[in-house]
Amino acid sequence: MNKFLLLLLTSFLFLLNFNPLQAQWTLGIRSNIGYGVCRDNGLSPITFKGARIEPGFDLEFTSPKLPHWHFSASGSIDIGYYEDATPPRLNFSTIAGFGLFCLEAKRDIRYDSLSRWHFCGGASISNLLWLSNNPKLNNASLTLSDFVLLDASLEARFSLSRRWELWSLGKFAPLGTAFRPGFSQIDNYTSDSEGTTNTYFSTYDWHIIGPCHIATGIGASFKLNGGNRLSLGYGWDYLTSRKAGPYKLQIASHSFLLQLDVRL
Amino acid sequence: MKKLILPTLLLLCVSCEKIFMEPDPAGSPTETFEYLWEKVDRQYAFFDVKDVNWDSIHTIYSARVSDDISSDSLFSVLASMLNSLNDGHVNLIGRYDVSRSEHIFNLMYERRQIDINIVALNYLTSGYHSTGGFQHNGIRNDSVIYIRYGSFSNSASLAYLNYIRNHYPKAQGLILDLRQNGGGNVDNVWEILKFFPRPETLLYRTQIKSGPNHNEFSPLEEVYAPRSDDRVKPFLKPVVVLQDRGSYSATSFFSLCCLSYPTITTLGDTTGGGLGLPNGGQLPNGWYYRFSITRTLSPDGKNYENGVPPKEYLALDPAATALGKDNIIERAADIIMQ
Repeated sequence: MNKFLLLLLTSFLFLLNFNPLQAQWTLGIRSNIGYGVCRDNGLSPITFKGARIEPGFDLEFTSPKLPHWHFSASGSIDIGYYEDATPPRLNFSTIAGFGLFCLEAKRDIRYDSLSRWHFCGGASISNLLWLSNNPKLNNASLTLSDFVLLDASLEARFSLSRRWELWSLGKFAPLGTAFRPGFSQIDNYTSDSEGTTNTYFSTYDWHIIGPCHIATGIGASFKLNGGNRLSLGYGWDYLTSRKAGPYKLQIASHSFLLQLDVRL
Repeated sequence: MKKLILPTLLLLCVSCEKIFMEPDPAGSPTETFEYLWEKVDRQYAFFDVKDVNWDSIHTIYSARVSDDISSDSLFSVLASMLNSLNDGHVNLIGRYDVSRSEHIFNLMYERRQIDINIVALNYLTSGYHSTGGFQHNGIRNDSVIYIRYGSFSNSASLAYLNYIRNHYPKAQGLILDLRQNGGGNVDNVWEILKFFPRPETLLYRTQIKSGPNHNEFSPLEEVYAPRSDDRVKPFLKPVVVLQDRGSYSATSFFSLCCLSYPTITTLGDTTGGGLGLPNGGQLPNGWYYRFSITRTLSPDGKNYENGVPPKEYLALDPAATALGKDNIIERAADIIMQ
C-alpha cells in the first residue's frame, strides 16, 4: 500500500514538474455538511438519522493534448452521528461514516465556447468503506462494509454570466460490489467485554450487486481571478448493498456543499 | 408562488430516499416475535449441542403472541423462547428488564463449589494483597501462592503476575481460583497465559455462523498459545486452576486453554460453558437481543459449549467447610507440594 502511494505521489510530482502533457492541475477543497439516513438491517431493522460532515478534496487534471477530457482523483471522509429516527423506541445511537476514494474520467459531450450550455459525461470507479460503531448495542459493536462502485455520470453547466455558472450533475452505478467481513462485536449489556481477536475479520462475504448508487447535485459556481472558483451546492446521494447476504445496508445523505477550486 | 418553489424543492429532495428505502417495520408484537425467531434461526451457533428443535419452539411460542399482547407479556414470551436455548450468552434487553438463562443461573448457584467466607477469612485473610484484579496471599508458609481472580473484567497483566511471583520467593507453585468467575474480557485470558508460555501450542479452533442453515459455519480458525514477553521470566512451576459451574464465558475459554498446558491442572467442577461469542442487534420494537454466533472446538474437535471438564473432579466438601477448610484449595496445594 505504501509503495502504491509512493508511486502515486512520485507520478504526480513528475507530472507536475516536467509536465509532458502541459497539464493543468486544479485542487478542490470541499466540505459537505448535512444529514444522513441509514439502516443496516444486519443490526437493526430501524432507520437512523443524524447530522454528518464530509470534508474532502478533488484533484483535477486537464491537458490541451487531450482536449475535452477531464481526469480527477478525489477523496473524502464522512462522519455522522445517527439516532433512532422513530422515538419513543429505546435511545439508540451510532457513530458512522465512510472513507471514499474515487477516480473519474469525463469528456465534454457538447462544448462550444459560444454556447451557454456545456455538457459532459464520464465514468468513475470508487471505493467506499463504511464503518459504524454502536456503543449502546452490546456495549460496543462495529460493522464494516466496503463497496466498489462503477458509476456513469452526466454533468450540465449553464453560464449565467462571465463570473457565474449554474451546474447540475447526476451519477448512477449500475454495478458494484459489496463486501462485509464477519461480525465484529463485543460483549453485552454489562460493563465487561469479550475479545474479538478471533472474529474480527475472519469471515468474508462479498457480492456483485446490481444498481446500487444514485446521486444528484445542483449548485452555482463563482469564477474567481486566476482560474480559481468557489462553488455552492446541494447534493443527494443514495447507496445500497441491496440484499447482499444476510444484511442490507442503505445509506442516504443530504449535503450542502462549499468548495474552493484552486488552479495549481 | 415563487416563494413556495424553494421549500417545495427542498422537501422533495429531503424525501428522495423514501422512494428507495423500505419503511420501518411497525414494531408490532407478532412482527417482533417473528423477527427474533428468524434471527436466532439463522445466526445462532449451538443448535446441535443444545438439542433444541427451533421449529417446534416457533409453534409453541407463536401461539402465545398476538398484536394485542401487553409489552410485559411479550417480553415474558420472548424471554421464555430464548430460555429454551439454555445459553448464558442469550439475553433480551427491554426498556425496563433484562432476561437471562434460567438454566445457567441455576447451575451457577446450585453447583457452587466455593464458600466465599471461608476463602476470605481463612485463605486470603485480612492481610491479603491486591494487585490489579488479583487478590492474593501465601498459604502453607508461603510455599503456595493463592490468587483469587473473581472476574475477567478485572485488570490482569503480566507485570502484576510477575510482581506476585516475586512477592513469594519460596513458592513452589500457584493456585489460580476462578470459581464463580463469570467471564469478562478475553484479552485478559491471553495476558495471564503469557505468564506460562507454551509457544506453538494449539489451544482451540473457532468458527463463525456464516449461513442461514443451522450447520453453516466459516472455515475453522486455529488459535495458538500466546508468546511470552521477554522481559518477564516464565513461570514454570506447577499451577492449579480452580473452576466450577459459575466459571463462565472467558473463564471457560481459559479452562479450555489450560487443557493444552501440561504444567496446569484444572480442578473442581465442569465450567458453565459459554464458548460462543455473543452478537446482538435491535428488534423492530426497539428492544435489543444477543446470542452466540461463534463456536469453539477443542484441539481434538470437541465442543465444550455446555462446560469444560476439569482435569480432576472435586466437589466442595461440607464437612471440610464446617471446619473452616476449603478442601479444593487444600487439594490444589497438595498437588503443588507433591
